[in-house]
This record gives sequence, structure tokens and C-alpha cells, in this order.
Amino acid sequence: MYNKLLIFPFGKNTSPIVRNLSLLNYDSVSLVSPKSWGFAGKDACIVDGGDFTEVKVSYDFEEELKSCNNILFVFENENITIQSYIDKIQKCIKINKKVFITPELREFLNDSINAIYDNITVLKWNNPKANFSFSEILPIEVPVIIVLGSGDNCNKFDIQLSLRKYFRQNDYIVSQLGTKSYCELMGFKALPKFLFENISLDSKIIALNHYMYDLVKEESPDVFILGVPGGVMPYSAEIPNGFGELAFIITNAVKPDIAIYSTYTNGVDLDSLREMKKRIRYKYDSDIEFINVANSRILVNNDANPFFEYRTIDSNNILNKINTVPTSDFTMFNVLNETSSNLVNEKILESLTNNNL
Amino acid sequence: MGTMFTVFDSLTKFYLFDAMTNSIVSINKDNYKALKGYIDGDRGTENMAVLESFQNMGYCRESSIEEIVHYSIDDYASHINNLQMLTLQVTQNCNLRCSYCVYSGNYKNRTHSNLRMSFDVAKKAIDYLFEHSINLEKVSIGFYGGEPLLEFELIKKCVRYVNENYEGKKVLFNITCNGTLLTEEVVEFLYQNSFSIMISLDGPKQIHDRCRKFVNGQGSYETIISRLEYIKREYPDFYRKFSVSTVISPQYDLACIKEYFDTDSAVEFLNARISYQNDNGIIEDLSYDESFLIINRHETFKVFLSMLNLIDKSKASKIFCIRAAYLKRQYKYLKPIKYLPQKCHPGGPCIVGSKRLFVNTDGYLYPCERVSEDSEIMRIGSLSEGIDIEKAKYLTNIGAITKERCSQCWGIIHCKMCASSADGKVALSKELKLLKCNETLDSLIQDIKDICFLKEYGYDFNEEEGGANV
Repeated sequence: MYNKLLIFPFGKNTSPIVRNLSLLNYDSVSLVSPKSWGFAGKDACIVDGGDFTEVKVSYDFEEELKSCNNILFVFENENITIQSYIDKIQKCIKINKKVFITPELREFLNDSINAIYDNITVLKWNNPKANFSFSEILPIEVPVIIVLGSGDNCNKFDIQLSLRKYFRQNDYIVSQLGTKSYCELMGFKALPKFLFENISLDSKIIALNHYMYDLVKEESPDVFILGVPGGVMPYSAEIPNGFGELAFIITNAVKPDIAIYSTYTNGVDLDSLREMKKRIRYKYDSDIEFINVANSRILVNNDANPFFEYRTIDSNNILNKINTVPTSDFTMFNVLNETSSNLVNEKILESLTNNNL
Repeated sequence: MGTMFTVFDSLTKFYLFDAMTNSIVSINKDNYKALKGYIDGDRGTENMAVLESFQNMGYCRESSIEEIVHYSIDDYASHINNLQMLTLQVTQNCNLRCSYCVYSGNYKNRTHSNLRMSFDVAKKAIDYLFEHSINLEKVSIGFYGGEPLLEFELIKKCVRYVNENYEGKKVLFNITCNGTLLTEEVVEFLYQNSFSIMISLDGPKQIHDRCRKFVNGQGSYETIISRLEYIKREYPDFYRKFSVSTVISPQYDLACIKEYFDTDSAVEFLNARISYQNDNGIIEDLSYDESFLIINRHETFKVFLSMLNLIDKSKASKIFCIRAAYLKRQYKYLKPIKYLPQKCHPGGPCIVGSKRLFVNTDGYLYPCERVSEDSEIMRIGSLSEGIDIEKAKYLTNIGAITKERCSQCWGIIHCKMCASSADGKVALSKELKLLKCNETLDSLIQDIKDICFLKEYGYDFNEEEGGANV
């Protein structure tokens, strides 16, 4: 049977899926977002600024529904009303479509979903039973690649998927913990829920380390890919990025063999990047060899509410910027340009292979 | 050659403002004199020694700016895909004939006409907004005139069109009107659709009616007040959200206007904002006499005293409290930086075609409603052809026309001049822009002085509720 997934609403959260369809167990996707978002009729790359995807976004939910058997509902922001979601979900159920919703949307819909709960699949947070009784760090005896960034919205998940796809295509077994709640759909787990709970830092570090240790035992991977949510340090006084707490936890739980840093487009000058490399080395004991220049520019405007906004920058523009920063201190790339990201994936593989992957 | 710093004094202290580091430094009187002497051209040994000592501390250094270019220029397309605010000129007609109106014939601008926007043009403009606001969760649509409520039916159709076709994004509607057409039906509609409303009211009857008259010459005050009283009675919460725009013309009695807004029950709770008559493109010179300045400073000083909790907040005139809010905002932009980048641009201009877009009745596009529609250089495109990106970049990158001056100017970060200050009709005018430099720098130094004064007396700009009744 032809397997087609409809994503609603398609936006920044789900754009990494479109570029990595081979990781899904679907033959193709339909993308629907409200007309007001300005994506309809355009290639999905309008959302992330990357290479053309050859998939167009539609605003006609009912029309697209006809050709799809599975529907993924996600949460992007509060502007789509609960009723609008419920109406669409009920339509899907009525014609026997399989419905998935993300945990964030489950929280947004709250009790409104009770009546139809049995007819849908709620993707779950990765909530393993963590054992906080240990006190020692165990060795993770598999190469670890870590993906860090300057904040939200800077293509970290795209990098994680691009690496997964590349290693799997080359027949490597990949263990992975990712930064989106729908990782399960892509065939791997999201970061464990205890990392976001109110427990002590050292408990989180030890628990994550032991959790990874068990995963390695269970999955016997050739490589472990880890995404780090948020930013490595405050972007500014107004954007503290959780003070890099998660980066601190994760890099203490495991020392990465390869560290990739993703920066907003506005961070692209050699002095700032060298400074950031130094800070990450000393703060997180991680040596940045690869820097992705994200298709996002962050704009801070003290007069606006919210006081920061993002701009989507075209990959061609990003590559031009990269060319203005010639350096041998690190390799710069743009993950949403296939040539650029493949080149880096090859370099990473080569680097790990030389270290006896 | 200019300097990238300036010095000034408050009542009791002396300061240096260093543009390269965006820092305000407290200095002693001798250093103030020496640096002032240097700025005034005295290169004597003593002045140079003081200058060098500040340079050794990282201040007063020569400009390292190599290029004046707006940060948006390299990826302009991404910015015009993030349009925040659309303003529709639904009509060029008005039921009033205010003498200071920019469309009155006293300005180098269009005059009132019977041109109206068609629904087709309005729909295309609305479609344009949603097609070009891709990263934004909320946008604004404003209705402007002439008097926009002359086209109430069109406004209703536009709002319905948005509500029926564009779910999924927060849309804020606003209207700038003269208040005379706020009938029961109109008010109910605006209320139901959560409009933000700005009405024009210049003060008490004897002042308001001097300039703001109906076409037949009759004053509009009584009509507006009766509408406001109705709204206050029937929609008390909605009424409190109304803003009042008060244009202070040189012929007005400012003290009388102040008294009116502070005490008259018809306008209590309204958020009144005063502005002085626009002099961009005016045909005859505007000049305010000394009494304006005295009242302005006196009332502003009372606002400062209320911010410092030295007088009761009720003693500060509400139409002057806008100064407190303004200074709080300015303070946020006075955070020290490591160094100005080599590529830099004056702070003033918004990104043309991104923050705002004004669409006139015929579907031509302008940066905002404040520019002249008669200016060829300000017309940045049309709904049928879109924005002329090169033209929009040219208007945004306004610092380039005065790059020699801007790259050596201590006011570069905080400069507020945009393309409308240099509207030479067929091109941006370097001469017009330079004419406004001194005024801009005077206003900037006054802002910084006021901030320093308030800080000296213990005002905490970082506190959320800083004490100002704004």
C-alpha cells in the first residue's frame, strides 16, 4: 500500500523531516500550513531557506488528506485554535486515517482531546526509567558526535538528521538522541525527559551517562549522535539560553569525539567564531572542528514584542558569507545545502575512520 | 574631521559619551574642559594629553568605520518577507479640512481628493501582507486616509476577508481617524474586531476648533466629544484603550492643552500623545516661540520628579509622560559595546518594505504613511509589480549618501533620520539630510543628559515598573 504522510501545520519545527524523507517509513509527504503563513504554493524550502525540496506546501487540508493515510499533527504556536485542530483530527478519524500528534500538541489540546483519545496515537516523550543511585561515569566506548548551537532555531536538528542519513547510507549502525519530540518517527529517541525535570545537575549527568551506556550495550552502534537543545551560552543579557545548562550536562555525561557548532548567520566573522571555539573548548571540553552557518539570522529589537525575531536566509547567501571567512581553524558548512553538508559528513567519517571507527 | 565622542554636563556632573564603545563615562571638570577644547579645535598640549589618557583607557579613539552600509543589504529579500505592518489608504478624502494636515496644500504632498481604494486593491494588499510575513506570528493592518471611516463598508469587507481567509496568524487591526464618524454601528464593529484606535484631538474646544474644522468651516470638537462620551458610557474598557493624537501647532496655547488633558472628564483615562507639527516637506517655515519651550521643559521636569518619587505621580501631566516611556526605551540602546564594527550604519532607518508598508488608493507602495506620495523616490513599487528591491535598499541604506559625515559622527548608533528626512523627490538629498544633523544631535544629547540626570538622582532604569506613570 502507498504510504503517504500529511504534516499539519508544516513549519519550522517539521521542515527537517522533508529533507530527510528516507529516514521515514513513508513513500512521500504532503505539507499543509495555514494560508496566513505565506508558504502555500511554494517549495518547502521557503520555510528553512535551504536547497529546493521539490515538495510544495498547500493550504488545502481536505484536498491533501485524500491522498494520505497517515497524518501528523504538530504544535507550532498558539495561533491555530484548539477547535481548528479538533475539527481536522475528527475529519481524519471519520475516514479512518491514522493520526499522530506530538506531545507538545497533546499538552496544548489538553482535555479537548479526551473524546477522541482512543482513536489517535500520541507520540511520547522519551521517558526511560532512570537510575539516580550511581555516582560514577561510565566509558561510552563508541565515537560520539555532538551538535551544539548558538540558540533555538539554528538548524541543529537538520544537522542531526543529515548525519544520521549519511552514516546509515554508508551502512553504519547509529545510536542517537535528538532534540525534537517527534524523533521516534524518524527511527530514534529524543533526549530523555529527566534532563528537563527538576532534579540536580549531577544526577542528570550521571543518569544520562548510564542511559547512553545501556543504549550502546543494547544497540551496539558504530557511532552515537547527540543533539544539544538551545544554546551553549547566553546570546545576550535578554536571551540567556538557559545559561547553557543542557550543554553542560551533556558534555559532562560524555566527552564528544566530534563537536559541531551551529551559529546564526549574524555570528559569521572569524574573530567571533575563534572566540566561540575557545569558549566551548574551555567551558565544555569540546573541540569544535565543524561550524554550520544556519539559515537563520536573529534580530533583537528592544521596542518589539517579542523583542527578537528570526529571518530565514537563503543557502546561496550563506555559502557566499562562508567564502568570505577563509580559515583552517575549522570547517564551515551549510547543512541545508546538500553539497556542503555531504562534504562535511565525509570529513567527519574520515576523521572518525582514522580514529578506528 | 568629526570626533566619535562628545562631552556634556548635567546639573552637577560632567560626562563623556563615546560612540565607538556606546559608553557614557563620568569625568571630572578639568577633563571635560580639555576634551571640550579638543572637540572645538584646540589641539594644545594639555588637551592632547587628556585625550591620550582617555584613548589609553579605550575611549575617544578615532573612527574605525570603513564602510557605511545597512546590515540588511546583503540579505534584503529575507527582510521583505517579514512585513510586520500594512497600512491601507482606503480614501484620500476627508470630512475635515485641518489647516496643518499634510494633505491641506501647505505641504509638498498630495492634497485631498475623491480617490478611494477598491476592494480588489485592498484584497491584493492583504494577500501581499500574508505572502510576505513568513516568519511572523502576528501582523498589523492599519486603515488610514483621508478619513478612513468614510470607507467603513470597505473596512468591514477587508476585516471579513482577513477573518475568512487567514486563520493561523494573529492579526491586529488599527485605525487612525478623526473621531467624527464613530457612530454606534462603527464602534460596535471596531469593538468586536478588537481594533486599536487613534483619534485626533488637539485640546479644548477653543483650540481644537481653530484648526480641525469640517469642510463647511464648522469646528469638529462637539461631534468628537459626543462620540467619546457615548463610547465611555457604553464600552468603558474599550474606551480606555483609545489613543489620542494631539498635534501641537505653533499658534496653540500649550498650557491650556495640558490643563485640558489633565482635568477634563471627557478625556480622562485616554492615552494622549502629543506631537509637534511635521516640518518635513512643509512649504512655510514652522517656528515655536519661547513659551512652548518653557512649558515643555517645566512639565518634563515634573515628569522626572514623579519618576524619582519626589512628587506624587498625579502631579505630572499625562501628555508629557510619554517622555518617560521614551527615555526608558532609549536607555536600552545605551548598553556598552566592545567596539563599533568596521561596517556600520546610522541607527535610524527601518528596513524599507519590511517593518511597514503603506499602500495608497491606487495600489502604489510607500515605506510608510509619513512620506510624501508625490515623491517619485518614495514610491517603492506597486501591488502588481511588487517592491523594487534596489530602490528599497537605496532608501534603507540612507547613511551611504552622507558616509563621510556618518563615519565620523558620535551620534551614529542613535541617529534617527530615515529616508523621509532626505526626500529630494527624485533621489535622496544629501544636502537635506545634512541640514537635519545638528537638530538630531541636539535631541540625542538631550536624551542622554536626561538619562544621566535621572540616574544621578537614583532612578533605576532596569526596574520593570520604574515609577513613571506611563
